[in-house]
Amino acid sequence: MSQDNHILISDPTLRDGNHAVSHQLTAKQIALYCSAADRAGIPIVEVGHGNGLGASSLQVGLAAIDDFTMLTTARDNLKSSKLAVHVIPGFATIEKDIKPAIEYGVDVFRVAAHCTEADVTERHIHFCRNEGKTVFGVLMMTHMADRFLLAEEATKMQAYGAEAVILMDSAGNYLPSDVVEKVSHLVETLSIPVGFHAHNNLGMAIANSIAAVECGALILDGCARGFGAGAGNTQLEALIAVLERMKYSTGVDLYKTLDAGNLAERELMKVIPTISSTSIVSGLSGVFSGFLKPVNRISQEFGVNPRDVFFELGRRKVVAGQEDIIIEVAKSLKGSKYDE
Amino acid sequence: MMNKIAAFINEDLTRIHSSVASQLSESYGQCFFITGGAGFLGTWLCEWLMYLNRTENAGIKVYVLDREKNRIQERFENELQRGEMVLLNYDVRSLTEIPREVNYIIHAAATPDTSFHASCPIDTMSSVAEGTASMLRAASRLNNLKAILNVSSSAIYANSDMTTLTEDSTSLPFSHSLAAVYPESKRYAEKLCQAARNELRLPIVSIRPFTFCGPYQNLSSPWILNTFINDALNKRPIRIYGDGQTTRGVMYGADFSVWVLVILLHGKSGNVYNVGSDNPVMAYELANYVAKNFSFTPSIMLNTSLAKINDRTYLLPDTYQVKKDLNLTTFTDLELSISRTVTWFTQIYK
Repeated sequence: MSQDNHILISDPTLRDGNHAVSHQLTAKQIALYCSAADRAGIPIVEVGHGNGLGASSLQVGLAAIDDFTMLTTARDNLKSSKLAVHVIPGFATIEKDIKPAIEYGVDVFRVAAHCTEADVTERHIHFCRNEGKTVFGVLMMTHMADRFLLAEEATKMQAYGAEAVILMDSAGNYLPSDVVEKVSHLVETLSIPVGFHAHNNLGMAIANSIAAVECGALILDGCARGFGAGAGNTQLEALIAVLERMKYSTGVDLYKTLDAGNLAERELMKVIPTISSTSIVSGLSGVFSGFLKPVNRISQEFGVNPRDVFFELGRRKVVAGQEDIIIEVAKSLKGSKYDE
Repeated sequence: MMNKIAAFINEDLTRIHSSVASQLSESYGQCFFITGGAGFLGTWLCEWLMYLNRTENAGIKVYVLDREKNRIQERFENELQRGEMVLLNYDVRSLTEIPREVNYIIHAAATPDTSFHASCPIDTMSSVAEGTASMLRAASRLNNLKAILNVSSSAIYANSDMTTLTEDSTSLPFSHSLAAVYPESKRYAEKLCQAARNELRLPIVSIRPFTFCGPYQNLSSPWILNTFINDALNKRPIRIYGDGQTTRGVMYGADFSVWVLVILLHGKSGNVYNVGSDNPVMAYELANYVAKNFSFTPSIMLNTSLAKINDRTYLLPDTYQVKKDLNLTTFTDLELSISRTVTWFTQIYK
């Protein structure tokens, strides 16, 4: 389907990276990184609370600044790059969040749902398409569904008007063979482009991203220094370099992307994402990478081992938005094991 | 005095009528039953039949069956009051009896909206499958039935590669994809009609409609031309998802509906006919036609998914059979079809 081995790069540094700093990115940081990304020619820059538009809350974390400030700051600093937002129906509503976001100049709406619940995206996708915006469907936590179910859910998004579907390995659980199995099937089933968003819990983010393009994905997500939830995402600078070496075109300037990576390390992050021991457990147990901070904090409060918490959360198949279960799990582990 | 909508539709019907008058005279004094009668095709059929009553004193009666009632009630208030039309407001699956006076049935109940198919696959399949079965059972008890026309779909064809589709072209292979629920149910309904023709001796033709435009379409439906018009109406660039080379043939609603009437009245029982325009037009050309019908000139954006793709589809009917058997032709060319459609949405039906 690709015309010239072209891969569309979407950069969620300022959205997924917000998870890594408990949603505390400031307007100044957003302005600095957007300018750098724009200079590098990154086609799409995603901005917002880690859980997307309208998600700032006590339950999943209050952002340092509101959506209006984030998006208008980004807009002011993106000249060529498209401005994107992550939209989870429920957190984001059409009236309260999407209509204002359109006014603030958002170009691309990435409407996301848990991998088995694409039905909830219908109204949001319809609305954004009818407003003349580019709309991608995003399936999250895709390690939890087989390729056939993923294809059915992605087909729904296509029918609703999505112009691409992105598979998210939100837990960083995939191996390249999983990517090939699922992405190939989607590429075969859908008539719209397929994209892939990796997390690096098992050190597989670049390998998985490359596996995705090798079997037909046309869109890849990458973050500066891998700045993202948990062990982080595919490292953008490395991704661009590898794609160049493999003769894929991205339209992105490698040197300026390296500069943006340096700037991100200096200006955005207190700690560069690494594959911590807990992140590995998070990936193995198939729990959303964004659970890392609350699991560590709550485990410490209850005096339980966060690895046990992750495996129990994985057994319960929790998904983003169910962070309140962490306390329940920690409490039950404390009662059943640690008091003995 | 005719309102704006009636006057606009009247212009179209008057323009076409003289070319098909002799073929429509069989409908005079007859009683029609239209399932899905408030949809795009159904409303146009009502327009034609009531036009014949107005201009030819044709004495036609129409029963309209549909879950939706507002459009028919608003548009045909007088005809409903006079008893020329009767609105039956329920689901076709609940149909147990068709009025005994009915001579002709057009079975058009189904939604072609792909969003609905995706979200409600069971309802999609059951309304086509069970609705067709209900209609056939009820039709089999009619004494004065002359013909049934079953509206199938061009979606039952396998994807073609730059070739026009004849009625014998390969149909969709069996697919595990949920996207196939609509074409699979339409294919089943065609086969059910064939079975009913054999077992119940019902006189049935089926049609496979392609791509249409014009009054009574819903601009929020995800059809290629609708989205272009919707963009331009909102003073936005016209967005084309791919490289603009996807190809369709577009037929105007007045032509589509009069073809359906002629096929119903004169088509050979057991036959299946493609219905649509065989004049190929690429998405980019369509967008240009739309653009030039607006007072400002909307720009045209290609590759709106931002990923560079060249995934083109080609959906064009071969209409040799219907033209040969029924002497039908295109009455509204592409340019006029689009100009009328844009006028409808900009000036008539805001």
